[in-house]
Amino acid sequence: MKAYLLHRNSIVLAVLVVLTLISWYLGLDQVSVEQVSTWSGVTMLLLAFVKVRLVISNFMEVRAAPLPLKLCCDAWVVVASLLTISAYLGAFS
Amino acid sequence: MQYEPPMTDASVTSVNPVENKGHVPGEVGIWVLVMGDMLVFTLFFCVFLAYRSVDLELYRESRLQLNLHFGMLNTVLLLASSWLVATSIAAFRRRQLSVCKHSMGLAILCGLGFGLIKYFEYSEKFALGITPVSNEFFMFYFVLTGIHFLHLLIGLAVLSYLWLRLRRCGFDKLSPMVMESSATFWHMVDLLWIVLFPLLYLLP
Repeated sequence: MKAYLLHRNSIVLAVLVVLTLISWYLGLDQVSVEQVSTWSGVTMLLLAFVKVRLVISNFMEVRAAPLPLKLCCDAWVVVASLLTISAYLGAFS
Repeated sequence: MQYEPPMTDASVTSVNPVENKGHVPGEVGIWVLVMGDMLVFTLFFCVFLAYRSVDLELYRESRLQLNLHFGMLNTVLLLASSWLVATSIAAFRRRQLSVCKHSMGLAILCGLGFGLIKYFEYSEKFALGITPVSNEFFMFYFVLTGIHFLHLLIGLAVLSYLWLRLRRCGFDKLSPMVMESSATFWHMVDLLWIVLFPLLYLLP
């Protein structure tokens, strides 16, 4: 069992939990200044997509996958994060 | 961080040793499904945010009625379950039945924990008279979390099947392809929630 606990995936899990707690803390901290709010929102979305990339790469084992699958997954992460952040900033309304 | 290949053993993975140019975890078909699902959800995220930017005040006020702590707990539960499933797959490759079985069982418990919290969350909303028709935000909230919950139930059914097979028959008749494909689907359930959490619960 020790081998599994000391595996890279355990470090990834710890990072994912810390990033979740940072996002949660940002969400708890209600800021009133519009500019700060916008950037904390963008930070939350960026953190989410960093977490998504970590899950895809490590838990889903895409880092050891053939190049086409790696490229497809990375392309999705980049496109989805750009579209989501643009939509959040009001680009599609 | 140093590159470290997944804990694999050529005899128990679907790697073709002749064409060892990387290993696709699970069936190619499951990846088509996963990529398709992720694209559809990307569309959902954008539609939600586009509507949100039209009536920001309504969305901000409605969001404050959600329980942030439930959302955070659910995220941590799904992350832990993903780690446990990845551990179970690694143990499967090492032919360590006990670790494989118990990790899978704990992953299912985490998934059930997510479902239980969701039940409390929905009950809390209904008790306050909040339903999908209350306003636009809650329509999105119930639809998006509902579709995700459906994915969770499918994932839980698949993991439960694997766990029962591991308990009854050990590694017999369980192919690496089936294990890896199921794990891939479960990780997708996790990563969709990772984006839904800030989208619905956190964005200021």
